[in-house]
Amino acid sequence: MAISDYIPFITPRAPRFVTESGAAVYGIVAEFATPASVYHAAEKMRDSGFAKWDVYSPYPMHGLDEAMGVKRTILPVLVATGAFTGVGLAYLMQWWMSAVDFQIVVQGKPYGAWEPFVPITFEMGVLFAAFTSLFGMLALNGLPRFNHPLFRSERFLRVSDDRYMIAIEAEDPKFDPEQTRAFLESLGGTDIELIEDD
Amino acid sequence: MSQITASDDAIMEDRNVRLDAGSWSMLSNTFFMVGALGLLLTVIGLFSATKHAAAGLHIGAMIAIGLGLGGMFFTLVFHLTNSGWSTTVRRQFENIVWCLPVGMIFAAISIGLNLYGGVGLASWKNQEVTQGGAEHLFHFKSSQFTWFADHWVLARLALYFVVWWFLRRMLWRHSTLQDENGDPALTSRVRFHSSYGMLLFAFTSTFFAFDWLMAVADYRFFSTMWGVYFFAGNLFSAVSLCILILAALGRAGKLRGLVTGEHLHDLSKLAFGFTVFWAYIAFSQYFLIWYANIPEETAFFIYRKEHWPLLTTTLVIGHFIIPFYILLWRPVRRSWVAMSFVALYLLVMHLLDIYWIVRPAVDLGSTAAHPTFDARSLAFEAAGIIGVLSVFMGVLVRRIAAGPLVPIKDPRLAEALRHKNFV
Repeated sequence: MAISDYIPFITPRAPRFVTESGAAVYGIVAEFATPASVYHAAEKMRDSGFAKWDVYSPYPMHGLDEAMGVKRTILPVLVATGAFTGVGLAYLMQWWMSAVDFQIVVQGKPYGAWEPFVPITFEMGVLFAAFTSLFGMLALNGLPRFNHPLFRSERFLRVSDDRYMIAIEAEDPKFDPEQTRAFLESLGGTDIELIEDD
Repeated sequence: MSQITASDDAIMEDRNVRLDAGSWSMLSNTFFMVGALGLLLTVIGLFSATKHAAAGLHIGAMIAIGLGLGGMFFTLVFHLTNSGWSTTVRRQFENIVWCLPVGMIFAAISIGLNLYGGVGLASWKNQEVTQGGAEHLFHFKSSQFTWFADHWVLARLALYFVVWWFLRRMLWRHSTLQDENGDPALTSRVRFHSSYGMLLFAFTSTFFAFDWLMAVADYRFFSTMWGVYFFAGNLFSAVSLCILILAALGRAGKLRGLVTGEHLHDLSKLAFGFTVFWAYIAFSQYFLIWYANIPEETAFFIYRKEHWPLLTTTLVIGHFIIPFYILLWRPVRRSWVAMSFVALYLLVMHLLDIYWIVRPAVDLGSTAAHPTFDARSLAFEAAGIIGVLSVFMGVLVRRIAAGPLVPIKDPRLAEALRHKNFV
């Protein structure tokens, strides 16, 4: 299911490649037997300039980010923006409530004293930062989703067991069903499979 | 745990982990000369501007002790948590702890002057304060509980010093003995000693701060947060000093492959964390006192806000807000050049913090509308601060040049060499 199935006024883009049966191509997946082979294949993938691809393994592999050339996420910037928004809003809210809208004398302290505002300002900063980091992470990862085209492949399920996979999406500008297949073969990939999109 | 490999042996060669004999002696001699000059001026000042010179000496001694205690905390924590990444930076903290007695000597001189020399800086020794309408408090605190009786003050001081001497010796001995024989059992033994050592450290550091910062500033004022406030400033300054030392060693071409950008990143994160921690503690202390509004407690802050408004504001902005925004940036935290400047800046801010605590005590009890603040008195204060800290730095530089720059046979060394931040 794509988003366009739920929102009628979004027209889906025409697929770049279709299979013989006429279904859109999601991408191509190749299998690797050892972590070392997938690691070196990832380095070559990075050097040949692919953009939309990923490595799948049963466990986190140290150094794989560098081998893949993964860029740092922009999430910290989003979180900082969220935190400062929270801080600003919280201070403004408290100042407006206690110094402008509904003045009450508390202990003879000034209405707009900044001191009592600090804890709530801090908490709101933390809250907004936490929300931004959770929902920002989900949004950047395209989550939540019900299914993924890669799950159509029976063999792919073994990445949660004892296999390592590289998948290249058809969206990638360098993607071509035949050439990419040959390239993955040259990297040592086996059981190369073309995956249909949902 | 990872194993030492052949390429690691090249890293561990003497030319990488030791300063050449005689190098940096110019630096330490310069420090000693500046220190001697500063201390000479302080001695002159003690006769002509007694309280100002005494304040300078006290501020310098408190910063020196604080650096030593901060280094002690980090060394204890690294042992307690059995942390691997810190192995290559730990020796610099140990070197700082090794210099703790410099602070202790100057603190002893400053304290002796206050107790028996009649300089009258410590507020309970200041006639103008004790006889100025608060005498009932003084008698309550000084006779009923004898808390400020000279012999009891000295007995406590002796206790702190004995504990610090013991901890310093324990940490230093285990580490240098391992340099020689490489016995891994020493690592677990020092971890055991760190456990109760941490408790001893916490109590002595806290009570020392009560006696020689809080009570010096104003004995009528009390804050249970004070010990943590002192502790927060110490960690902050010790980690900054460590970054400076490592940056200087890196410029001298040492520690290649041993202390990397990854280690700097972690040290910077600690500096960042303790910037926020200091602000958190400082605000919590101020906040509760502001809310409760009890004259005894507010006097401390009101005096500083009214008579030292610029310094107070500088601390809020310069000690927290500016370093917070600077250290928020990852590229800054990973750059030796940038972090050298930031570390130096943080040390200056720590100095201002201690100055803000101790210096107003000079004018406490005085009926003058404004604190005495002129070029002459400032020069004598600066002489004391610079004198003590220069001697401290001179000893520290000598110490660094005297031994290996990392614990060369620590069993966790291989782990530290491969240390990497994944975020």
